[in-house]
Amino acid sequence: MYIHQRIDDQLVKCQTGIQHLPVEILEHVLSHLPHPADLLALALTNRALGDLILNSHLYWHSISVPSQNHALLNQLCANRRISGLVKRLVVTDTWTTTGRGYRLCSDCGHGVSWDAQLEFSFHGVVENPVEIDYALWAKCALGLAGLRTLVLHVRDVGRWKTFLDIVRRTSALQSIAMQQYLGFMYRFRAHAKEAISVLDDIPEVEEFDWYSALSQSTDLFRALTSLLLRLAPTLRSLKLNISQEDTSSTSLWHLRFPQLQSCQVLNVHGSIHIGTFLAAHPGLERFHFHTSSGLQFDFPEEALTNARDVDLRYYGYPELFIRLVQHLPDGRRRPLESLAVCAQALGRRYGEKDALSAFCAELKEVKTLRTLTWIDLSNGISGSRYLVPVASACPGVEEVVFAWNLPAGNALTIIADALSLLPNLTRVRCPASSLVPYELTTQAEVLGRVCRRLERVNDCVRDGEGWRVRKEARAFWERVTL
Amino acid sequence: MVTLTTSDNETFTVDKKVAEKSVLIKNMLEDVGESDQAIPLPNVTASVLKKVLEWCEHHKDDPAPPENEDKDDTRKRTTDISEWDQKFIAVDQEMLFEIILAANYLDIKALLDVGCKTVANMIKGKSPEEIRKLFNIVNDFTPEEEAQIKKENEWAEDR
Repeated sequence: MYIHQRIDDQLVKCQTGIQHLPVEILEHVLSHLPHPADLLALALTNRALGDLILNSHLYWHSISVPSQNHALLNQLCANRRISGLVKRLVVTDTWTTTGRGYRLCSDCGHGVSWDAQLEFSFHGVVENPVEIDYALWAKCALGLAGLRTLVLHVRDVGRWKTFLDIVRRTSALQSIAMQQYLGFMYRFRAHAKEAISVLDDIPEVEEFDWYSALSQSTDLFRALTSLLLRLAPTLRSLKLNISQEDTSSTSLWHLRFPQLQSCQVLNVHGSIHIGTFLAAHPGLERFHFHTSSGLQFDFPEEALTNARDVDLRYYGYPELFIRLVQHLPDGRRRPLESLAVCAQALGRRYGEKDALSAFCAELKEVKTLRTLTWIDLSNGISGSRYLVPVASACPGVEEVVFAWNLPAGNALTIIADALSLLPNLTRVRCPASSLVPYELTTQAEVLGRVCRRLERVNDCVRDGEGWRVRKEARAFWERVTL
Repeated sequence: MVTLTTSDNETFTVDKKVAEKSVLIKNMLEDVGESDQAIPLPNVTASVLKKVLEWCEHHKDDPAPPENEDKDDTRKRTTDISEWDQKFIAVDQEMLFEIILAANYLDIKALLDVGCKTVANMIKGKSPEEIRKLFNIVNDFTPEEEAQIKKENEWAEDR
């Protein structure tokens, strides 16, 4: 221990406080604020902090980069300070990621207006189409020390193996999304398996998302399962769309994720194992399961007791939807805020009763519901007539999501009648890419006439008495990451 | 043993191993060689140095951080402040910032990390107004400027 001798009582008083910290220390503090909302809140406190944070940290926090963009890549490679600031990176092989929030289409220079950047990028594509330089990306990965979230929205994940390997070692990734668009070339599958295997050693991943447009080989699925097994202790959110051809994907349901809160699984076999999986994951707050298989679905009474958001696209069984809104064995109901309902299931019998009235009677008792997702696969959207009693049973709903395109003509009028029963409805959503702006505006006008509080239909927002399409960053972003 | 003199002329005599948690002191000792002379620390007051040395004493046997080829490193985690460090850093705000400044000056990276993570954790999840109140920051934005910045960065607020 030390000896403490007092010689002089004179104290030197320093001016302290966050705003008086030297910039390098302040930047150190900022490096521990991974969420952009915290950076923005601090930036809004006063001008000096705002200047520092907005012009560098927030600017580079979340960027989406076309994979062919050599100008930006060179800038990131040349300036480690800048590349170290990137917390979320979306790499895309297409040119669709032009969200203002997830900015940086092309040169990313400060002082260059967004419109100018867009223009530059489009010209860049037209005049100078370039190949993806994977070696340059690997070099860039060396500087991505602050990266937390990575989205690879690419044709061939396998070609990113070296990049992933370096990022894995350089940064502390918490969220990984790999969305592979294979085109028509099956040959990429083998590469993808290798790319997945390099992720095996990442500790403490909290979110994992794998999407592949084509079905997987059994080998690839095994690699994914093995990766999930390693990530299992820390994983909070899992999103899989694997289009598995055979039933080997049922092995997924035997994995256990002690921290799992959100599970969105599309096109995975094994409905009969779901009950066991759900019983082992009582902490699940979100559960989405989509499959075209008509096999028996195991959904025990006490499953998903803490669920806030459930989307089961499972058309044949009204029991599923009724059970979700019924009370639990202990008398309380699930705290559902968002629920998907399939029109075709409600058109069936439920024992002696019809499923629709049995469902609506229970739905009336769910007071927490704010978002309703409506799934209607029938020809001419004939199942829409069921939406009227469903809407009247959940008047607290503020948002309705249609799983397929909004119809036109009479079917739209039926939907409008149903939505008019929702006094708090402010937002309607449907698959964004399916609508051209003039159709959207027409549909918004029809719905807006009867839903006076409706403010938004996809990108179409109420503007006085009319409606106009407003492209916003988030909409673009969602389109990429869905 | 090593003797250190603070800006307010107090002297502390500490184990060399403890003092060498500071890269600045370690380098000075290497430069000067064996000497009885006190090392002056003109940027640190006694009350702060006392706290810093308490930290160094507790962590004196920690393994040295790996030499990273890349200085700006690192696999930073924000929630992993050890229980002892959390108790150690539970001080008033003035002392917290003084410790951070001292850790920076003395080049004690692990202590600087603890301080900066603590400040970051204080900020997390708060509104601008709450942060101003917490750190006594005067808002010099006009309401229009503030609204404009919010609008331009709406995307960032999506928690």
